[in-house]
Amino acid sequence: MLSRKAAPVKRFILNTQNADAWRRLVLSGKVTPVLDGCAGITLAGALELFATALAHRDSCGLFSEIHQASARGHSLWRALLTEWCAQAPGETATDIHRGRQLEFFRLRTMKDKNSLNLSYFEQRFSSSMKQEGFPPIFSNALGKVIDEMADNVIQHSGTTDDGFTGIAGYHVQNNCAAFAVTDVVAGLLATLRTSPRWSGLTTSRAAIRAIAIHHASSRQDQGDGEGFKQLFKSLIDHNSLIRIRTDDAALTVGNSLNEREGGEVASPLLRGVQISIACGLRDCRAQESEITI
Amino acid sequence: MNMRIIELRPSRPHLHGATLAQEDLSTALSSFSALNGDSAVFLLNLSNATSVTGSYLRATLHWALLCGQAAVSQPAHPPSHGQWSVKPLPLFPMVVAPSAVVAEEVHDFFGARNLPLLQALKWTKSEITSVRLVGVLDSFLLGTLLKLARFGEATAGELADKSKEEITPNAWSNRLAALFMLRLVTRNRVGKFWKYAPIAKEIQSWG
Repeated sequence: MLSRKAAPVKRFILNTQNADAWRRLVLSGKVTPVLDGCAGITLAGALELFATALAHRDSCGLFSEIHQASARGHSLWRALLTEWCAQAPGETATDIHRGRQLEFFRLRTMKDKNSLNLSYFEQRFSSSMKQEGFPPIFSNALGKVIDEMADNVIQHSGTTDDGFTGIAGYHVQNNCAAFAVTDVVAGLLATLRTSPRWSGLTTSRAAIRAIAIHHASSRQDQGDGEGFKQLFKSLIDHNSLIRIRTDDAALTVGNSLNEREGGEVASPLLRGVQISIACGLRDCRAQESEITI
Repeated sequence: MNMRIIELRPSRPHLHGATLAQEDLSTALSSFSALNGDSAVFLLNLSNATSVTGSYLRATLHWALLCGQAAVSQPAHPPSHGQWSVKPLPLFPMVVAPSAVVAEEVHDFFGARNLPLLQALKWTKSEITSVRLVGVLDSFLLGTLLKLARFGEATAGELADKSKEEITPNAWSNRLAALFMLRLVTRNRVGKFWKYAPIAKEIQSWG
């Protein structure tokens, strides 16, 4: 019997820049184990790959790979899976006020969003940023933004049999801070199209634009959406990178030191939304920091 | 003037997101449903709050304002689908915001939407006695509101008679109707005219 020979694994960083390539790799099923090709991981990259694993749980072996990596003691995957499997979000936190370098929070129910555990999680994120040297006002503003993005999961993403599929995470290390919130049910297009005003939208790319430029909201006759407004208000003129990915499109906007960059890209289909933010301290160029915990 | 006041005072310091707003507001929904067409001030008391987000304000005060406007423009509104969709409710939203940071958030939120809102400064169980205007109000409407506060209550014709401005009763009527739509004044039918009254006797503007 012929054994299938695994393709040689090219090692590259799992970050948002490479996230689309990673997903293509996973969906192609040609390279296994996928995680062997990982030379480094950022928070946003990890959550994007995790979302891929969740969305394709039945058709690819990535979820088991993540389980195995966690069992081998890989700190990132272990932290992520522990929180994902916890019955009560944030229950793994012991010292509730002390900031951490890396932490996750699962959003399964509406109660999770309004829980004190989420408030503590946001406060710990802000504290970690302040400890790293970020200005207090900016650190507190980012705590609010992560809450707004978590709120969007509950308000708009829709549920599965197991509740909402949201998970938020932050990482603060090496003069950088990052957070990401992801879910794998309804994308921005499906959500916006429930409103008569936006029912004419046909692509995910158009949905991202409607949200980023026109503050589109799925709530009929209730004016601008506030969540993304808060995001751009807090971040756009700071040293930060924003990536909004939904279904088969992604928008990246960066304001790094003296230049502002942005671009839309096609992304291999992954239902739901992920918002990823990376910020750099003072004179450091905003970039995603690899998790080296 | 006396009007029913439905007060909601969230206990948390950080009021973030629509989900929390809806949880807080759900305790007031039965009071709203029981109004049966009688007007009421919806007083969102943010005395315990140290921070508030636009999403929270949108799902509470702004929602109440839109419901109040719907009660004027489409009182026979068809039954709405979602619990949080806009429906006709005779509400006059007002905020209590002793924290300067929170007051600024409210001012910015309504200002960005080109809308005014009343911030209650003094009140009793049945009466709002002093307010401050936050957000944005057209200068002609602001002048009309202050004039009405000075006179206590008036029809458009009475304002035209008492005012030195050369404005027709019809123009006064339009301004008063706009203030009513913005939920800044109340009105009662007296004969064939509307008699308008400020919600509070004392009105200050922002700043």
